[in-house]
Amino acid sequence: MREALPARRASWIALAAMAAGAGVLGAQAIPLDLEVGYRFVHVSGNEQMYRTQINDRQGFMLRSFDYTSDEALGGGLLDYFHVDASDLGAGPAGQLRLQAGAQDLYKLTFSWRQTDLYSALPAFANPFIAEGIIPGQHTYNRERNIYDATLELFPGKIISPILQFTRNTYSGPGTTTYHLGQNEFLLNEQVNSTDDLYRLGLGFQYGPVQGAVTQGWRYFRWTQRNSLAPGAGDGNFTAPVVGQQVTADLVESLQENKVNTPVTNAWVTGNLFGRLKLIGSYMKADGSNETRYVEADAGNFVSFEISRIFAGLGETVNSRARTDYWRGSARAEFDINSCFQVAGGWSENSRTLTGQALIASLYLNTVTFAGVPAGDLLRQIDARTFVERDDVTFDAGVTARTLGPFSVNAGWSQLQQDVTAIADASEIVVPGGQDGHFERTVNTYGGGATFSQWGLTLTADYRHDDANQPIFRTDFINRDRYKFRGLWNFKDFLKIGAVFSETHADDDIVQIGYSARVREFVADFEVTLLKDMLTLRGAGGEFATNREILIRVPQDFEIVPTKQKEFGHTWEGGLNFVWNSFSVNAAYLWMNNNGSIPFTVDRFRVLADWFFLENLGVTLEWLDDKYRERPAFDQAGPLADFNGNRYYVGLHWRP
Amino acid sequence: MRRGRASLAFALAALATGLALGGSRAPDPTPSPTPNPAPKAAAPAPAHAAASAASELPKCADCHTDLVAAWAKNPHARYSGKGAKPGPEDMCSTCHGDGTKHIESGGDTTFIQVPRGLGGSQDCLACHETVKPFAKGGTDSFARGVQDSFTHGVHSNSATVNCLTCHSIHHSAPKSTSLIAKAPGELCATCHTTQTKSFENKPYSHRLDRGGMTCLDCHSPHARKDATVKMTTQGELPCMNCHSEMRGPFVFDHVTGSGGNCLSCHQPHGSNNPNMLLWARVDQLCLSCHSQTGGPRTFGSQPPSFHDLTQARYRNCTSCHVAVHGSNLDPQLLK
Repeated sequence: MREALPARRASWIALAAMAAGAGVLGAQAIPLDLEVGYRFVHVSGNEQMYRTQINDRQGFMLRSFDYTSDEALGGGLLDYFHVDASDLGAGPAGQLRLQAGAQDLYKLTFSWRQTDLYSALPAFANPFIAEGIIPGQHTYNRERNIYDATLELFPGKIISPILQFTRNTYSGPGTTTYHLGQNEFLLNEQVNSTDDLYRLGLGFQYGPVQGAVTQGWRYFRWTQRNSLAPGAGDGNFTAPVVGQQVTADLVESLQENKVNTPVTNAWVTGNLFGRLKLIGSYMKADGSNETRYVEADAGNFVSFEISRIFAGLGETVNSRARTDYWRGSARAEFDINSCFQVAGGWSENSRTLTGQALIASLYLNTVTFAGVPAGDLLRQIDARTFVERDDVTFDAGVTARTLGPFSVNAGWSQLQQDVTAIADASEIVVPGGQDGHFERTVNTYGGGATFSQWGLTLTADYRHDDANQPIFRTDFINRDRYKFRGLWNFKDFLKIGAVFSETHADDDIVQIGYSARVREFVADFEVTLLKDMLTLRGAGGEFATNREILIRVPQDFEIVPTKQKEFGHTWEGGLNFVWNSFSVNAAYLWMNNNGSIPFTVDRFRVLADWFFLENLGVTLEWLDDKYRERPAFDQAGPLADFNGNRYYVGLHWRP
Repeated sequence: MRRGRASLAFALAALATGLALGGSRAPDPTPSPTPNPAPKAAAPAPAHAAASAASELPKCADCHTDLVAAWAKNPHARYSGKGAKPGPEDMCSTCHGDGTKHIESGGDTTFIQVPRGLGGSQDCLACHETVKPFAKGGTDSFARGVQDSFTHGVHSNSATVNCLTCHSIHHSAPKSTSLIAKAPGELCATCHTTQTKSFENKPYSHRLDRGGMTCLDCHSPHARKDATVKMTTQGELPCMNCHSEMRGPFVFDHVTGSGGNCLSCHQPHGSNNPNMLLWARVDQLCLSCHSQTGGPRTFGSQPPSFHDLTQARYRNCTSCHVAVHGSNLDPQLLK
């Protein structure tokens, strides 16, 4: 796994930050805010779990940067300019944004977002957790960068050309597993992918009509190399299969995947008589995917599919998939008067997927289970798949915006789903359920009311969904959703709020027995003891989840209920203190869960900022996160525990 | 690595270029002694324009020094419709009305209009609902054009929630590019406490408000009811904006695109379960669909009997079925 990258990046960022600071020293009036610093990290316990959940790294950081042109820059080619950046450097996530433009001429935005993605969970995809072996075998340590540049020309004119480029890169190492020859082998994995989107279009406005038409081209490229991890040749399971010890000497594979997707977007709105708004939209995206894959394996393997023992495998896959996807919508909104509004619409998503994979597997030096040498065996599969999905939604609603202190809304919608799937024979191991034609209609009725007076706001929302049948087993037949919210602001001195929400879904089908109840409650307050000086805040909450469904246990076909439970509380307290050029913000947060994964989380944060000179300050921060897991079936228990402390010291400059 | 450095260098070059351009004309920190020029044809026409043209008369800046000084950074100061750009004082009257009596009375607040609540929001909509490019339906976003509405949006235009509930024209949050009153997560937390606390508290969650990701990456606060999730340009859930490798199309599709979506298995607002899954154990999650127990016919196969759940290897479904988001290589999603 890469370790040097954050430090190197931090150095770059720190140098750049210093350069940026130096570059503007001469311009004293420039409204600039710059904070650079260094973060120290100390972790005890399971560092991999710390990185999976938090991943704050040690190193230099451009914690905050903000620059806005103080006034119009003189017209011409640059009327305004804004750039800001945050958390670039040590990681794990940061961003930079830029906006620039000139009146009536152009509007340019650019953004860059960088994220380190790390996962090394102790219990996930880990059949050895009961033996105390961690982490699981599916891990990654990757980086994602997303760049976006959008240029709009002649904003506000009748015709406004638009150009956009977006690039999303995702790359880095990881580990995975591969089921081969009746054993699972740990593989090292290296992934490199780039997803580019070019868009070109025209926006238009003429009188009450406006809209846009854009054409985009998406190019996605994915390369994945897998190889047997050193020392992993014995596989996960050492028990012999048909008297054979299944081992691997070589597992190598390369997958190259290309997806090209032209995307057309169009929308138009028209405002008639100042009261009636009509909106129409259309999107079409036809993606085509080509994949080439080669694999070479050597060892001693067993296959029940060909009833042979074999000493090697050479496999090639050439596959193509194509999706034709379109989405359309039409909507009308009518303002009856300044209070009452009615609206209704239709939307449809339609997706057709056709797939084909030619899989050629050459089993080398095969031997029958009876021990008779049978030479090489070539097996070819020409798999063809088809899925068609259509979702149609109709909706209508009415809103009364201001009935005295009340606002009221009510609505209805209907979703019609239609799915047809044709599975290839190679996909079907146990017949039934893998393909077919499925239809489902869901009617939703809902309403809400809000009362707002004397600094008090009360909100209630209720929605009921009623479906005729499920497509997936976890699809509800009945679902009720409630939400109540209250907020009270008392003279800028006290703010109290509370939110309660509950969702209850079930299917009323005794053979499936699906039921899910999710309940959340949070109450919080903020009291200003000394105006502009001292504020205290606190919050408490409770959450509960109960999911239950009947499953058929594969090995004995017994039908049993399976359950997921979450139940816990959160408590939080904090203060904010400001005195002249000194400020401190501190918070403590505690949470527990007594469900399927029982754990406790303690989080402590304190951030102090002191401007010892008019324009120069120091920032100190201490973050402490403790994660404690209690033993539970197939979970890591105390093996997952960690205590992560981060100490940050930074210089804050506001010329 | 080399590519990463190049990318970083490019971003920093952009930053440095911007600073250079901005710094090349450092504005004078002291108020200009010259009167603001009267706008030629500002729209909407400031009622106070004539008054401010005469430098000997009192001006808004005489008392509201900080507000007027800060106005130059305000996005509203960038553009005033067609014609010459008016000075900040001329713009005050656009929202606050004619301030002559307010000034003459020595600052009597009853003579000045302060937009508040729903009534104040109507002032915002006077431009933002109709005048391009301020109006939603700006050409830069398909989602904005179709999903958003200032007048029919879920947060729009009621006595309880309106423009000024979330936006602060003179006291917006630092770095706000759209004059929102607080940082996005903090702002949304005012009402959507359960969601934001879930992000903050639960061990597995997106890094909300840390490193750039905010509620606004996935949600549009101006969207119509039931359309608050920002769809991608390809009409997908916003998950695909970052996790684009999950998009497919795959020869051997799984869940997404064939009846379900990302939310069939994942909890985007934070989870107590690894990988933000709905279930703590993978086998329970998979078997909730992959079981045939009778009743109406449903979409999902039954695992064959050699999947002996008493053995740990079979309870960890994804140890073998690694390609759970779809595969182009294997009918059983084994690679």
